[in-house]
Amino acid sequence: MKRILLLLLAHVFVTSLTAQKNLPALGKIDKADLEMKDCDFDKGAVAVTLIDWGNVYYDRGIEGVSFLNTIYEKRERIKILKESGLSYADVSIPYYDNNNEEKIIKLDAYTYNLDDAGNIKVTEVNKSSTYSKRINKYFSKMIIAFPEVKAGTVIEYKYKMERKTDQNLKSWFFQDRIPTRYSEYQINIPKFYRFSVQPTVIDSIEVKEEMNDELISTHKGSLSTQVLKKNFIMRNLIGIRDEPFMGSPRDYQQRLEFQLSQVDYGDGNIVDLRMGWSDILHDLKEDNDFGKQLEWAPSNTEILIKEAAAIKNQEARMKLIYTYVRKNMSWNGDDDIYSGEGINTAFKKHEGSSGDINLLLVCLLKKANVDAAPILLSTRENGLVNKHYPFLKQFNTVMAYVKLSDKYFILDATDKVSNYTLTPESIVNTLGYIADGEAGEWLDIIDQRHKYKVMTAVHGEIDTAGIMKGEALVNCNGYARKQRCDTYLKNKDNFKATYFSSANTALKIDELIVNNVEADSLPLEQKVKFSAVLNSSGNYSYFNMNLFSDLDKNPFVADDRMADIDFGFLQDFSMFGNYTIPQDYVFEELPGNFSMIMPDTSIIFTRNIQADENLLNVRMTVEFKRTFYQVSDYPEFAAFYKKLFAKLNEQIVIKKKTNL
Amino acid sequence: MIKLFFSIGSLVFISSVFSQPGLYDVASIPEALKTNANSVLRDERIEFEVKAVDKAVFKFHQAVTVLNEAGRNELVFNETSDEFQSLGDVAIQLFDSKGKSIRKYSRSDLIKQAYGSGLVPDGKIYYLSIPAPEYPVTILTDYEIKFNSLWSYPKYDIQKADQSVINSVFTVKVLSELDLRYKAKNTSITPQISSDSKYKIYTWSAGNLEAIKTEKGIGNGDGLFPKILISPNKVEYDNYPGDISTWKGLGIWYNNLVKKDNTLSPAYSEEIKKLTAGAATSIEKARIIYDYLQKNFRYVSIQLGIGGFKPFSADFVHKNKYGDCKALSNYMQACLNAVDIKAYSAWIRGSSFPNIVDADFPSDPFNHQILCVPSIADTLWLECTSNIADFGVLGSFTENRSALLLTEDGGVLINTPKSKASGNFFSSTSTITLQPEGSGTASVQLHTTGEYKEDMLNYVFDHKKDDQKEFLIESLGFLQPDAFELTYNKSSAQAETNIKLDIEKIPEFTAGSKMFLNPRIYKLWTYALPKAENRTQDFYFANPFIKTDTSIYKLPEGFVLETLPKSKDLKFEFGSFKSTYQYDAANKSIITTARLQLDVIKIPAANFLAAKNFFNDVLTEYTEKIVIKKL
Repeated sequence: MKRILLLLLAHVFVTSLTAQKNLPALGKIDKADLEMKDCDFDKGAVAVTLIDWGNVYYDRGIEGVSFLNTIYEKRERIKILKESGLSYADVSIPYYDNNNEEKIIKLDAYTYNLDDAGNIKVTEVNKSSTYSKRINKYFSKMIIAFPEVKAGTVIEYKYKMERKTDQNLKSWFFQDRIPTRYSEYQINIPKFYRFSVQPTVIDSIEVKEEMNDELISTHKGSLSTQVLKKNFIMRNLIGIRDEPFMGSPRDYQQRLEFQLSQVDYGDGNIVDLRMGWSDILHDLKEDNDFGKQLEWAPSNTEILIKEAAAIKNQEARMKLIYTYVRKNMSWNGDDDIYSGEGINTAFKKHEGSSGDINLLLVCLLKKANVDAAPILLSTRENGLVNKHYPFLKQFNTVMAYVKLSDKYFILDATDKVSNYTLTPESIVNTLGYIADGEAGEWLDIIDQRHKYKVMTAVHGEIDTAGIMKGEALVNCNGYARKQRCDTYLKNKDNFKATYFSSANTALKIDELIVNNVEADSLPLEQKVKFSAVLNSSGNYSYFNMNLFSDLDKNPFVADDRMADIDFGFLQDFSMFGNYTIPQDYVFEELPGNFSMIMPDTSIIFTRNIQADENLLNVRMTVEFKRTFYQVSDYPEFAAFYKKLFAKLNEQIVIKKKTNL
Repeated sequence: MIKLFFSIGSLVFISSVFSQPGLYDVASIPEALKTNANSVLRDERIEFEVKAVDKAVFKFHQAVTVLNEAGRNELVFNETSDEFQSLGDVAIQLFDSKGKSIRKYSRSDLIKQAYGSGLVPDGKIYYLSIPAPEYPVTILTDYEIKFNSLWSYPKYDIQKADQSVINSVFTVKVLSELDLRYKAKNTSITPQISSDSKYKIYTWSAGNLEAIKTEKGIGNGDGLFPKILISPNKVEYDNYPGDISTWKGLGIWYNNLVKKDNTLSPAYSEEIKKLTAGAATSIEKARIIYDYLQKNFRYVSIQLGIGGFKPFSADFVHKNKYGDCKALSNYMQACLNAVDIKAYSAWIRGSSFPNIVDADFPSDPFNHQILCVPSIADTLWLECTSNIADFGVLGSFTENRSALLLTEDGGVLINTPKSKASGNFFSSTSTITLQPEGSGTASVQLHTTGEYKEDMLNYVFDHKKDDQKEFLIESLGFLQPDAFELTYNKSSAQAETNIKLDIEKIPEFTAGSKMFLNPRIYKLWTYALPKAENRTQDFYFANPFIKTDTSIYKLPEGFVLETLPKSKDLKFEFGSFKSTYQYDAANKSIITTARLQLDVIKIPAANFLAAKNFFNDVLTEYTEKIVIKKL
């Protein structure tokens, strides 16, 4: 018996046909769900999905379009717990409407409430509260405005969608912004189709399967075949939150994605549709929007290529072409692995997606005999790539990979400010696939050379009136340089407000000069002249040594965390300060020299403070040796951060000498 | 054939560029017009032709040089379209800094998308965001819109924020029998008026205007930029004619257009009567119905029916328990009618300040609808879309501005009440028990009204514990607690909230045997006003307010007071701050109090420096420390 290929990585247990507790029927509800006040497995949630159920099966196709259609049924029951969750009763269902590819053929919806006497009141949503609306050329939306919704209400809808495809199974997301109590996806696949499944599953999942003989109608009559019915069930999943330095929220959304891998035409005639990365790579090379684009350089690039090819040094040759492309092409903001426009057209228009621009870059590099290849990537925002699942749609962008004798570069010509040696910020700490050779090559993308580096040197002189006048030099390297240049180019006022006006109002920036914005091989140099009125109480005056350091506020104050901490790159902060105080003042007891280190030695903080008569020297450094922390490390990480910020912000107290 | 057309088109185009070499060369922009500018309006010619009471064509031609990334908005094309107005041909061209044409776009390059503010969108939007190859870059835009219904005319925005103007001409050609009304705002330019046998032609011209740099906190910015308001006398929309040259007429036309179904069916009417049966006075009845509305209905924006004008009937809202601002206020009106209380819908411009409605110039700048009950408590105003607003209280979105009452006799323009400082009240009382090593526990009680109460309801009550923690730390400036317990009484009028906190380190810092304590364990005020030098524009706060604090520090065993900050008594024209610090030696306690009050929302530019200094002093107060030391 042929089986659909299903690969599951996580804790899976397959039950045979055990009796399952049936889901409540549409229109029927337990009173307990209406009386529920909080979600017991995710306290404080604004709403909770009680039932999320999907079902896919095959039905009669359309001659000349698809052999079979797929029918997708979906049912969702949501409990509104709080007023701030009322928007979860504004439901809209997008569907791909181009050529009627998807069509909603049945929709039922209900609102459940308890009336004043405590009885269940079920209201069916009538037609006047549903709207179908075209959104653009491709998509329409079915919109349901549920009646009688307030905090405490349960809403439910179920629809049936006909899809003109037999090869594309909808992905299933078990987890969403609000918690989910029960989520089930059922697929019914005739035995001649085989799908591979890519699960992103951490919590326990229940899988059931059975094989049944069934009759399926096709446009040519009916077909008797065996159908594999498979159910995937997950329970009590918490809602996904946005957390600082979390990478992509999508990485934490447990889900299943499918891809048709084989069609079995009987008698041993099995056609493999997707087998491995090498097959995908082979197709990509033949693809008009990808591999074929690399064959010919656009016209009017001959001089550039000639000029580049004349340069002996490969790195300099590469740099010339990279600089040319990023200067001459403007990015339209779209990420793509393909060149939808074609690099020729894009070059003529001087604009395009990341696919247009970076495939152009690869093409020109190759023409100039630089060892370059496209590298497929998923940006940090888009989420992680799993190399065990050969699905091309995991990637959302492409860049140029250049291999020189002793090193390699990843170049992104949509980035206007980074130095070419900096691994692009949007993809650092991810996994890339070099689309080259027979099998391609995986690359763990890290940047050992560059850090997020901020160096601050402050010199301050305090006069007898309690005013500090000073100068500071702030140098930013690597990723810090990149981020600040982006901010600076966007809006200079905003740059000043973001990095140089702290909450400390007594501090006034008299002058700010920014150098090297264009010179990407040099640190971004920021020179500041400032004055500040010292805070004082009675005979004491005091000031903060943590000036312009980029470490103003602790971002990790939450007690709970769901996501890993992914900084992407190493960080390095150093602050040097020297301060003079008037002759008739003395330092009160100074905060001591201090250092602390994470138990795994991955973050080191040191503080040296030395006073010599009326001169104070301060040196503080924070150095990271890891870019990534698992969520299980969070308690000690957060405790470290709390102490770090407390120590950074300790103040220096001075006092007028008392006459003896 | 098609190919032939193409080549002719591009030939024509090329020759036109050659014939005007460097028309958009950036070098030809006078230096003075680059100062403070993110973009420069090089050439603008807008024509609006009213061919009939319900037919018009809008022709737009504009060249703008964008000098830097902050002026990027000028590279975004954005026009809506619906059953009453349709976008015609569009041509967009980009020129480099030398004035050489580098790119072209047409209507087929635009992205078409459903557009609307709510759940169900009504119109379509044509959209294109053009990436800038480099700055400066010049964009030339030409397009046309046809109207087949009219209820307003486009205004002439002569100058935008941070934009200078070289040359701009705005022409309106209107049937003489219709004519139009106009009013100049923030400018003295007047139109040239001419006429022919059929039309009257108004032409406004402007040029050589230096950029007006916007300062921070200017509210909606109305009152700063020159513009000409233009309004029809007669309109016809969806075949409903009207004369809107008076506020009264505008109201009559609208009543006529929507013919709102605003009577509850007898059965629903009975429900409302039953609900209010126990109430003796009108105000009690209104309060009960408003409470019922807030607890059972929700705001859902569905912009369908005559360009979003027509609201759902009162019966529909009663049955489904949702609606947009129009539907919910109409419903509230119907409920009040059912218990014999007269109420009127009121159009309002919900936004920041200043009031942009010009009483002398009837037109429709409104975007929101509320309800007015003249007979109760010297006129009661109700915001019907909020589940949390207090009964009869308008927030900063709608207070103190013009509202157009829609009465049975047409429109009547009146003012909404001005909110008072006492309407936005924040009070905190804390007791902090210190331990010798600096840790401690605190017990805090908060009472709030108005905007502060809304913050508590929106961000604290019913929220996840980490969200509450974030609010305490980020918004109120509390010391980071290691543990806390927050309890509240949702139904209390002042949103009473109790917080118990464990804090590892109460002093801001220590030096040897001394602890330096902040006047309180959170910040009463955190906002530093923008820079005050040479301020020329008025500054707007969101609301007036009163904030008070009492904090009691219980000193640890063995500690005594060394220094107390001096009490403050600060005043400026529109506000005051007072703080006191006392040592109660017998109980080993330090008691601090503070009271901050702001009476107005508008700070005239001339008073801004005083305001800035005042709030800086308030911020500085928090940096002063109570010093205690171990004996």
